Amino acid sequence: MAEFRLRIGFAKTGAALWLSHLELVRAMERCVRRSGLPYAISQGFNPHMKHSFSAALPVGTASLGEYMDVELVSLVKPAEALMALRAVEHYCLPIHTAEYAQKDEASLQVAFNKASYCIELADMKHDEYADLLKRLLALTEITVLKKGKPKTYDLNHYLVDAWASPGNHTALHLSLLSRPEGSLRPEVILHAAADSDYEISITSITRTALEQA
Amino acid sequence: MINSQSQSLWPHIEPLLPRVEKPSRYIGSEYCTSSARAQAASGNTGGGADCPSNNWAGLDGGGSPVIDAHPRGQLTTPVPSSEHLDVALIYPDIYDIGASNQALVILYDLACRLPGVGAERAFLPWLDMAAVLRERELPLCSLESARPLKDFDLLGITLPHELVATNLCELFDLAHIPLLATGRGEDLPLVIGGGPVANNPAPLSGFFDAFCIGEGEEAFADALMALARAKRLNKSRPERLRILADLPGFYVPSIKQDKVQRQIVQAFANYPVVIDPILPFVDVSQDRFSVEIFRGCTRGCRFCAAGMVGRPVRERSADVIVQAVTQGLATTGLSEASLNSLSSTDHSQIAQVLRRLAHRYLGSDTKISLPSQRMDSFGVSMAALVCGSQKKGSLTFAPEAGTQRLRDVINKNITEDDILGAICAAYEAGWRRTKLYFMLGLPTETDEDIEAIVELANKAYNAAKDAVEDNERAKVRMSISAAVFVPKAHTPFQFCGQVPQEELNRRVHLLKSARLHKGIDLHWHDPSSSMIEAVFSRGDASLTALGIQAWKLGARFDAWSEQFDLAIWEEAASALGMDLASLAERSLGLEEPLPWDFITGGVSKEFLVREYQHSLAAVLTPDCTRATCGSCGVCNDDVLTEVVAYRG
Repeated sequence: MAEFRLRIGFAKTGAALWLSHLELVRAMERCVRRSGLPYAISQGFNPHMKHSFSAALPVGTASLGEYMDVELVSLVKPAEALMALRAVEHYCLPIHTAEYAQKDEASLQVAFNKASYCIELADMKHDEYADLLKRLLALTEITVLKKGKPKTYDLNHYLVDAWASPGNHTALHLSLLSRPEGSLRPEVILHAAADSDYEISITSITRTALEQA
Repeated sequence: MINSQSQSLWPHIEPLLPRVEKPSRYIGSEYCTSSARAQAASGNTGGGADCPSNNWAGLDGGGSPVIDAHPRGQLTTPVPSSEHLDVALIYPDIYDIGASNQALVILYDLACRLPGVGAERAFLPWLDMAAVLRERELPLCSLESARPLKDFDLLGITLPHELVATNLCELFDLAHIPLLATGRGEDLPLVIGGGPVANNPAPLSGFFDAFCIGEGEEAFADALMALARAKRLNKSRPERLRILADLPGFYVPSIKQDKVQRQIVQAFANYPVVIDPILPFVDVSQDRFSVEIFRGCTRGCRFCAAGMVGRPVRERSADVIVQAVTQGLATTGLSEASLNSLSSTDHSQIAQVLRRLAHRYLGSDTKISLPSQRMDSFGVSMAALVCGSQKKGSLTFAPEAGTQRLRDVINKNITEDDILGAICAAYEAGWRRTKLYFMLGLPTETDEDIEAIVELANKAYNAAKDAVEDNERAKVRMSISAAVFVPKAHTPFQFCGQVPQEELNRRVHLLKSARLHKGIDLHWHDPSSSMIEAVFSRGDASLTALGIQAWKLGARFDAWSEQFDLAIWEEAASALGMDLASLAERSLGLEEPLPWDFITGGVSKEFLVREYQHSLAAVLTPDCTRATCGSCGVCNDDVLTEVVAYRG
C-alpha cells in the first residue's frame, strides 16, 4: 500500500504551553482523527496511528513551529488536508501548514536539527542586558548534570547564533543545534551566562523556528 | 446580592504552574468547552446526522459539528451578570479522576444549554497546588474563567463515594467558604450535593444547603431554572432554600421535610447522549467516549446500592447507541468507546449493538470496550465480538462469593457451572488473563466460604489450563481481588453490621495463607478504609463533625489508599466521643427508624426487609426482566421497567 507522509506544521500556544509532550501528542492525534484524514494504522499487537513528532518541548515552553508527520494511506490534496485539519484544530494548537515530505526525507528529529528560541526576561537594565549577551557569546563550554553526572558541552557545537531584538531590552534570541550526542536548553545557557552575578527572571520561552541546519 | 463582577485570577494562577506537577490539570481550555455548548444552545451546530467516522470520502457529507473553545479570558461562558445564574459543577477530587465523571459530563452539558444559566467546572487541586494556593492566599477558582468559587451563585457537587467528607472540607476551605451551611451568608453560593452518596444525605448534611436525591437530569435542571428566576427576582437565601425544598427530589436540611421523593428519569431512553464531551488534555481515568446503554439493574444483588436505587431498567435502543458511538468518536477523535451500565451484557440488544460496532470499526484503531461481563458463556461471546483477534487484555468476572450458599445469600444467581463455563469460554476464545472479584465479610460468611474462594479460583485456573492448547498453558494467568463488604443504605443488607476490623484482618490473612496456584495473583483491599465507608454509608447527621475533625487533623484524599490513614480518623472520633467500630458494626433493627427512611420512591422498605429475610434463608429472588415480578415497589403507573424482550 502506498503511504504518504503528510508533514503538519503547528504551533503550541496559550494554555497549551503547559502540556507535556505526551499530552501534546495525544491532542494532535485526536485532531487528526477528527479531521477524517485517512491515516495509516500500524499492524501489530496494539494498532495505532503512524506518526512522528519533532523534538519534544519542555512543559511551559511555547512554540510557533512544531511538526508532526502522519502517514496517510491515500493521497489527499495538501490544501484539502490543511482545511480538514483547521476545521477541527484546538485553538491553542493552530495548524499552519500541511505538505507532503519526500519519500527519502529524513525523520523529523533529524531533518529539523536547528531550533531558534525567543526568551523573554523581566526587569533588566539596558547595560545589564547588553552585558548578559556579551557574556553569553563569550561562553565556551557548559557543564550540566545528566542523571546526576556532570556532562560538559562544547558550546561551539551547539550555539549557532545569539542576538537581541533591536530596541527591545527584554528578549534574547538563541539558535541552537541538536546533535546525536545531545542538545542544550536555552535557559541553561542563559543561566550559565548570568552565573551568580545576575538575577534573571524568565517570563516566557518560545521556540520560534525549527529548521534544517 | 450576588457579586457578578468577580475577576479572573488566571494572571495570578498561571505563574504558579511551574511549581506543581501536571500543570495541565489546572489550565482548562480543553477542546469543546462551554462556549461551544453556549453556541450549541443557540442552534449554531448542525449535528443529528450519523457522522462519518474515519472515512475521508464522507468528510464533505454531513461532517461533524465542531466549534472551538474560546481562549481563556475571552468569552468562555455567558457573561456573568445579575441576569445569569452562575453555576460551578464540582467533582471533589483531582481533575484526573473527575473530568470524565459521567454525572459531571451530563449535568455540565445540561446546565450550559439552559437559558439564563452559565456553567463552569471545578476540581480539587492536588496537595502541591493546594499548598501553593494557600501560600499565595488565592481562593480556589473555576476551571473555565478562573473566577473564585465563592463568587458563584451555586455550587453543585457530585458525591461519588463515602470517603468524600474530608475532600469537601478541603474544597470549601480552599474556596474561602465556611465549611458548614449554617455559616454561609447572603453573598456566598448555595451548595447542592447529589450522586450516589446522597442516597443517605444525613452524614454530609451539615456541609450542604440542599441535596438533589436520585437522577439529576430533570430535577437539577428544574432547580437551575427556578434559581435563575429567583436570582432575577432578587430572592434572599432563605427564600431560595424554600424554593428548592418545594421542588420534587430536593432535600434541604434546614427545612423540615417529612418525605423526599427520589427522582428518576423515566424517559431516559430518549434523553440525548452527550456526543461532544469536553476532551481533556490530561490522561484522565476513563479516557474514552462513554455511552450509558441502560440505566438500572434488576439482577437484585442484595449488597448493591446502585442496583437497588437505580431501578427501573431503562434501555437506550441499539440505533441510538450505535449512532451515539459513531458521532461521539468522530466529534472527539477519541480512539475508544465504552458501553456503560451496571451490567452491559444484559442489554436486550447487546449482540446487535456489538456486531454493528465491530463491523463499523473493523481494521481501524478504534476499540469498543465493555466494562462488565456477565458470568456465563454469553458474556464471553459478547466480549469476543468487539475485540476481534486482539485478546490481549483481561476479562473481569465477579462471582463475589466462593460457595453456592453465600452466592444465594447475596442473590448473585449464578452457579459454579456458570463460573467455570465462563472461564473456559474466555480461555478458549483466546484470552490468557482473567480477573475474579470477590467480597470478604458478607453477611453470614464463615471460614468455609473463604476457603471456597481459593478452591473456586484453583478450579477455575485448572479449567482455564484445560481449555487452551498445550503450548499456551504457560501463558494462562488469573488474578483474584477481594474487596471488603460495606453495608449500604437502601439495600437489603442495610440492616447488617460490618464485620469487625480484627476479624476482617483475620479473614484476609486466611485468604492470603491459603494455597493458591502459582499462576494466580491475589489482591485484597485494606479493611480500614472500608470501615470509614461503613460509618458514613449508614450514618446520621452527627458525622459531618467527624469529617471536619478528621480534615483538621490532616485527612484528605481518603479514597487514595496511600493517603488514607485510619489513625487520624480514630483520633478524630475519640476527640468527639465517637466509636468508629461500633458505628460500622452496628446491626439495625428491621423496625428501627433509619436516617434515610424519609427518602422514598425507590424500592420499598417492605421489599428490603423481605429480601433481607430471604437472604438469611439463602432464598433467591429472580430478575424481574426475565421471570416474575419481585414486587420491589418501583413500578407504578408512571414508572415502569421497560425491558420486555426477555419475558416469555
